[in-house]
Amino acid sequence: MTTSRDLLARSALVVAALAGPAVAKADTGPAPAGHASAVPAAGRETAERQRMHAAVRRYVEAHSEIPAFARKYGMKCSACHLAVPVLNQFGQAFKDNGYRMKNGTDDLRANEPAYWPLFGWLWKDYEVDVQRVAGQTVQERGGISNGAFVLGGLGSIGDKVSFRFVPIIYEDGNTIVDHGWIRYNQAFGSDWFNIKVGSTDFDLPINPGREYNMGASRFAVLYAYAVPGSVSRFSVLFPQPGIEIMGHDLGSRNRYSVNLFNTGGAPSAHCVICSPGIFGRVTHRQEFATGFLRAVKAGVFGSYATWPVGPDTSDLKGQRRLGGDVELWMGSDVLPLRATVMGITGRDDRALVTGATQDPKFNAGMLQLEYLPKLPLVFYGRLQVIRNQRQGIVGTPDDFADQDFQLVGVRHALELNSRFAWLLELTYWRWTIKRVAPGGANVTNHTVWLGTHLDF
Amino acid sequence: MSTATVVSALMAGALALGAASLQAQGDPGRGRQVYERYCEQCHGDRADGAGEVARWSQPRPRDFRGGVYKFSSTPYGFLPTPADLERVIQNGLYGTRMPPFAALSTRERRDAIAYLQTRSPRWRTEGPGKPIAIPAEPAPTREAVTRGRELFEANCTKCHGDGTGNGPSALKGMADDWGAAITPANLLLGRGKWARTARDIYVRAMAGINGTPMPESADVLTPDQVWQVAHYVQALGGWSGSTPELRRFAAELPPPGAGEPASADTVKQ
Repeated sequence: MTTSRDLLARSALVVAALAGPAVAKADTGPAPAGHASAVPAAGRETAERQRMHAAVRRYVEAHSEIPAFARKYGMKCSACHLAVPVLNQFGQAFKDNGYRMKNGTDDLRANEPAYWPLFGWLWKDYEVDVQRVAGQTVQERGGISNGAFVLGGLGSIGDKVSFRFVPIIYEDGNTIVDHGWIRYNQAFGSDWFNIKVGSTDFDLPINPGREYNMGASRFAVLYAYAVPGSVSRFSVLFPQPGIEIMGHDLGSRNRYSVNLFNTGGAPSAHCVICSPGIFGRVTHRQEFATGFLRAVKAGVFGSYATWPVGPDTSDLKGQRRLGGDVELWMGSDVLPLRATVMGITGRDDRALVTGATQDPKFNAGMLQLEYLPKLPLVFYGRLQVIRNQRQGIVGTPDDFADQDFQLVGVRHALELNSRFAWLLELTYWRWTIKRVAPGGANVTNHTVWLGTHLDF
Repeated sequence: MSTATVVSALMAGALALGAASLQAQGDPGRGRQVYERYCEQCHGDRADGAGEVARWSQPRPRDFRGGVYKFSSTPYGFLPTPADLERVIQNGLYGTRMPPFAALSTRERRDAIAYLQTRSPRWRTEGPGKPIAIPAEPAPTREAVTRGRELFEANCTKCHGDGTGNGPSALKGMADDWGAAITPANLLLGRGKWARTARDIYVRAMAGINGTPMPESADVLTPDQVWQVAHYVQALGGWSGSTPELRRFAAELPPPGAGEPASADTVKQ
């Protein structure tokens, strides 16, 4: 198992190697008297850089204990990920099986030596943001954004039991447990009945936890939208505590999931299920034996969550979300052009919005295009729109808090193998929220984001 | 330009692209992409079975350069059919690092097979063998299980011992054609790397396993005798199709060596 000390040491060496020229220059001062160098300074610098790179390479080779997770499965990251962390069909089936290959090697005891499937992520981002209101720049910000370290475990500990535990430790000291669940696989011996208990994410199209733009989820725009003035903090974006029952066929071409949950974060809702909600999704994937169109995946999903509006949870009000999605795989299964179209409609109870006299409603849509010209490289673009169909408070402008979001990005993996992934990503997005500035002006943010992600 | 015109043009373009890429057989170029994503880690970028994690795999990943595939429906020594390769890719090899790739599309699997067929010169000079004939499975009776054990003791115990793979040859150590140590299958587990049913056991017993000491039986046993062996093996464990009644037949057999000596028809007459 790779230890954090090893990782720190390895990281330091990698940094040293990257800083090779500067370090080498420090080493290439005047030669000591009597030791006139036969090698020109430039040549010595090159030699020094080569020496350092070789040292790093030797260190990594000597200490590159394959991480337990990869050792268990013996697969490249790209076997399961279209581009990390987005899952491909094989990865989706693997996840649906409770992180099991189902070939007799999933039990920890089946491996020699035994191990725990642990992993770590480290991310650090640079971001420049310009905010404009009514055509005037009102704020410019830029710099290193907050990084985080994630050390988690996930996998199967037996043929019947899988788990996931992912605490995220931010640099500012905040620690959250993103997911924490345990799953009983194949209840009654069937893939169609798996039971998960704990804090689980919903099976959304383009899962928020598995999207590009690492560590800076911009799907909050679509998934986490709340109608203006809503007191509810429920979102399908966030993992919710409860029970999930899901099932699938061989290869996960047909799938369903149902979540029964207690709305996370609801005030006075600290009992087991006192602010209940339900989420469900079904999907079908159709593959084509010939033609440019390789596969189509279609799904529908919906949720109904409650949120207390009184001093306790005796007065619960509801929020409804309904959506559908279609995913097209074109050109290639392995290096596809993929288009995803998704639509959501939402309706909240008027009691959730102070002063509302009618139930607010909104519609939202998203189009994402991804293209992988070669394995570690992906280009992507995303359009999202949110339109309020009916404001809760009569007299509010129809387009108040409507949103437009456009994003383009490119991601490249500098290193990608079974034990280590080093990802570099550049993204630009423009995000407009309408009429929310004083005077009813629109607020638009232009952001350039450069992220790096280390997975081990 | 109207919306209908634009949509029509897009659909016509998509159909044209589709027609251009019609592939009844796999495409080795795309197969290489599939291989790089899913297979290279174990089988290596040169398809030599020396991928990054090969050293942690037991048994070792297949070296495709020699064109020798262990599990085939064709007679011993012949190349497998594409269906044989697709079965291994789809179902994996149980108990090994070869996972089931059932989630891959049929086209991906065919493309991968087409690519694998470029990795060995054998595919350019030989075609796949003809699958062995599999006669209809007779009923697994007590008599069949009894006869099956006699045949098993005469032909299989040298390696498989009492069924757990503890035969004298196994104890001395065995190796495959690639020089890797191997052990005979433990037939009491009720599942082999490739086999799950009596039909699968029949095929393995009849065709053997290429590149290993597991021989073909076609020259030694009749099809009826191989079925008897298959039913005896099926009675040893929880194989698919094995019934409590079948397992009782095996449990009620006298201990090895306590019954009648093996009759002369333990080999093909």
